[in-house]
Amino acid sequence: MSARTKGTASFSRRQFLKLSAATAGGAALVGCQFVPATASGESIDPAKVPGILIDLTRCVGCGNCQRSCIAANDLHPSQEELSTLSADTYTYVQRYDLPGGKTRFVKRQCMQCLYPACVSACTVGALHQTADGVVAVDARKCIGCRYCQYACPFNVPKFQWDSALGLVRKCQFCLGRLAQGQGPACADNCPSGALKYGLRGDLLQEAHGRIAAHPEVYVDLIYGETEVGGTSCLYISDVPFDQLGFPKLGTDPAPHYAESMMKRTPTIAVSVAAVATGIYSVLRWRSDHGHVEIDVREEK
Amino acid sequence: MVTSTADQKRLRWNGARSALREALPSYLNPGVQILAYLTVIGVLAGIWRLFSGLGAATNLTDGIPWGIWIGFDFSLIAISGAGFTMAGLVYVFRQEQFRPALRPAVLTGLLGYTAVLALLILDLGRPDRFYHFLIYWNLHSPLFEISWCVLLYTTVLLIEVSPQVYERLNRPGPVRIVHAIIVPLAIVAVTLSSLHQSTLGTLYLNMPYRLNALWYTPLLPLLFFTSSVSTGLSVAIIAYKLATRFTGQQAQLRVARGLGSLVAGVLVFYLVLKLGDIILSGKAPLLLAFDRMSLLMWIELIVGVLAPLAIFLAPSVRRTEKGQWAGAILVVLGTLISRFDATLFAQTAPPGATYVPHVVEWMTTAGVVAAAALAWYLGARLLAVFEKPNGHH
Repeated sequence: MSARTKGTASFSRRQFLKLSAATAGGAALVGCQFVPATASGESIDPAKVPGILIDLTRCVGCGNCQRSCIAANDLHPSQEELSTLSADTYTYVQRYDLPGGKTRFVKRQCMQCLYPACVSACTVGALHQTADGVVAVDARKCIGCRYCQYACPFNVPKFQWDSALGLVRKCQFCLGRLAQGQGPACADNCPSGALKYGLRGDLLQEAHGRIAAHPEVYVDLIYGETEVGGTSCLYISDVPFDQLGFPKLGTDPAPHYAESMMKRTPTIAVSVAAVATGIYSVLRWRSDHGHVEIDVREEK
Repeated sequence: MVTSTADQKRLRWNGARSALREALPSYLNPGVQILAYLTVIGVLAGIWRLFSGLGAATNLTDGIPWGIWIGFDFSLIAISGAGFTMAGLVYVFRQEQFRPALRPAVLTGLLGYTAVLALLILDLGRPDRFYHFLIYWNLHSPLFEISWCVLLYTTVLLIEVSPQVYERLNRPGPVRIVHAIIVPLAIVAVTLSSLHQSTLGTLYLNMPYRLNALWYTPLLPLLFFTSSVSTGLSVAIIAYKLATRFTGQQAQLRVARGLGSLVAGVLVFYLVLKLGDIILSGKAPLLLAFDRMSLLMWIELIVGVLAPLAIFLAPSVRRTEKGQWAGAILVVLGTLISRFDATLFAQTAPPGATYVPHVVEWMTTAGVVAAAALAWYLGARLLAVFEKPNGHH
């Protein structure tokens, strides 16, 4: 008798474990498949985004791009900051002394992803893509959480560590100059022709043309054409890119994985709430039923 | 008449004062004093950090922008899972035998999340803009979702804890109101927690090129959720044992034993997921390489999963007081290691980047944790952390 009342009044252990396993299995089904879909960057026409073609065979390392950038963006880098990206260095030229006496200069800056992971990750939507497709930071929104620094596959966003109220900053493709019909300061002031400003579609055509014209010089790859879904800053080179510090990245948009989970948020919320309500209702019904039996027995 | 009520009042007041004077020495034990000192130091260090900025107060850099604040923060979120796991167990799964451990666990949850919020605000470059996520929305952002869930769930926890206060104040009205809505509240708690505990794993899915391959898997959300359940239940065991000790009550070993078996079940599920994923995705060689990363993963698995599993699966050990303590503490320790691995040790930092936490980071972290522990101790002694027998139905 006592075993009977125990089994009905409180849900039996076996049933409980079964239910839990079913719940966990359901959650696993809902939660853990990647669905190819990316919301960031969906409305952008990849051919119409403003970009820069960087031809590493033409760069002489004069640093004029960096100086123009500092002036155009009113930056105040320290001496050490000049040779790295920082909150006050949106671009700099990295020198590579290669075996065989070759020297190459690689300009670094925000790659302007078509599917920017920083925009996808940003807690408050401070990082955003303009209607033209430029990735920029809204300094009025940024809370300085620095999640974007982890999300960026190129390690570009930088934080103002020296400020008591620090924000994340990066190259914004000279949005102000673009609005006035000019190109970014770096590209407009490049004396050697290494930087060419234009629409991404045109730049890709140009790059393919240069490689086809001199296949004996160029590596047959445009870095940024397919990397993480494509970037608006494109590089061509006569030296393999892995020797010049370019990360080897896949062609999937970087925010793809997290976003495919994030868009399930409403589904997960509704499923969990429904399953929990269901479990409660069934158990409640059963134990109410059990209590009746116990009451009857106690009355005898 | 007037003087007599005044006398009565004075008498009652004097009674309370002498009761306080009698009880006070027991509150000023060495443990409380240490926690109080740590709290004061932490508050001062925290104020200093707020005025001086992150560059001066931390050793974080652009190469390694997240440190022990975030590491402890993400660990504390899992530790605070005690609240939703116990509320779910008692109110949704109606496992009445675990009710004695409910209130200490919910109190732990509330104070844990409060500590989480404090550390999160310290870590922001613009602490004055902590509320921005309320105004500026980004539905793609895991951190945005986590912020909302933590805020909403902390509110739920406040309501869930409130009967412990009202019962002490002899205010049955509010207790009845909370009791009337406690089941829907528990379902909301479970839902919000399922969301943000798993989204904490999703957060790392945005770092495919930074997080080591042994850790990076599409299963991260499910793994993080599962470990929040095993951790939450383990913390519930610890909280229950401590609360009975502080209130001079007899702990029922079967409560902890039952929770221990549940932890074992969840750990088995976790282990199957983790090893199954590593093997099926062809990463077994990485796990068996016994290099730095492989050893890190082994430590995480042995401390947090295999060792407590051995304890909780052995009936003779599971029944003992020492076994229950050891198992629960190991699970929590393992979660701490696993969250720190994902945040710091298993991250590929740019070449040359190093990070040794600044003394201000340690002082503030210790201060926040000590303040939560102190509040918990006082709560366990002053609030109604145990329901009156037959006080429910």
